[in-house]
Amino acid sequence: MKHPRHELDDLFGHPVRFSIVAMLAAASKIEFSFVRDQLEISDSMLSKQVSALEQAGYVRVDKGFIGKRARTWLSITRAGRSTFERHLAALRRIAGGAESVLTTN
Amino acid sequence: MIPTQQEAQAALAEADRAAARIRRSDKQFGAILLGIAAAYVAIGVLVALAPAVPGFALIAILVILVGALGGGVILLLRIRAYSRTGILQFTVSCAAFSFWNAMVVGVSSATRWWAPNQPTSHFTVSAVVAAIPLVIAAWLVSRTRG
Repeated sequence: MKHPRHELDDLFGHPVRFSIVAMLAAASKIEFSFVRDQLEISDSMLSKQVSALEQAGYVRVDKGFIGKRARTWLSITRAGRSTFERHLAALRRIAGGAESVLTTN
Repeated sequence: MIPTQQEAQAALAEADRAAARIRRSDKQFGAILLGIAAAYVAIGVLVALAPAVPGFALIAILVILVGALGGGVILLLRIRAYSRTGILQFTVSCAAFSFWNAMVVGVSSATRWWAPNQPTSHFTVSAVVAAIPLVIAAWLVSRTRG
């Protein structure tokens, strides 16, 4: 049986990135400021983490204007969703004790 | 680095909390649906009053229409996060309302529930019946866990 660690994605190891992707996985679209407010982080911190996720092809960033107000929308890509689901499945196995079972075998 | 069992449990709990934040945001659609229902019933009441006070009713209907439209657009623009389920529920609710409303209008006309010799309060009753899907949808959206 394959160890669940093989299914973990290092990019999601960072707690802020994990929370961003967890929110995006549950949503269709989220405005940048909503993620920032919910996770209680700064604009620059969120930008940095979103850029890393965007470069990996996990997150899509759409910018637009409503009147004169700029709005940035974030969404998860298909690749991001499937990678995150695999990551969550691995976490569930670890949380359920799969890690200790595999280590002792 | 491989997370420990406790760290994995904490991460899963955080994923659940993140999903709950989005479900809470979806509840704003419920408020919009209730707003549409309220505006529709208010127009039904005013149409019933129209023969008695035509000038007032016409202005009031216009104010409600413009207010409901403007308020709806503002509320929709204020939504900063929504799930696929949330937007789907909202769209289906609006479609169900449109279909049901057309049925109510059709039946009201065909059965002469709406006719010159009938009381104008029939318009209000029809508006209340037509708004039922919106109220049910708003209730369903607002009872979503999270």
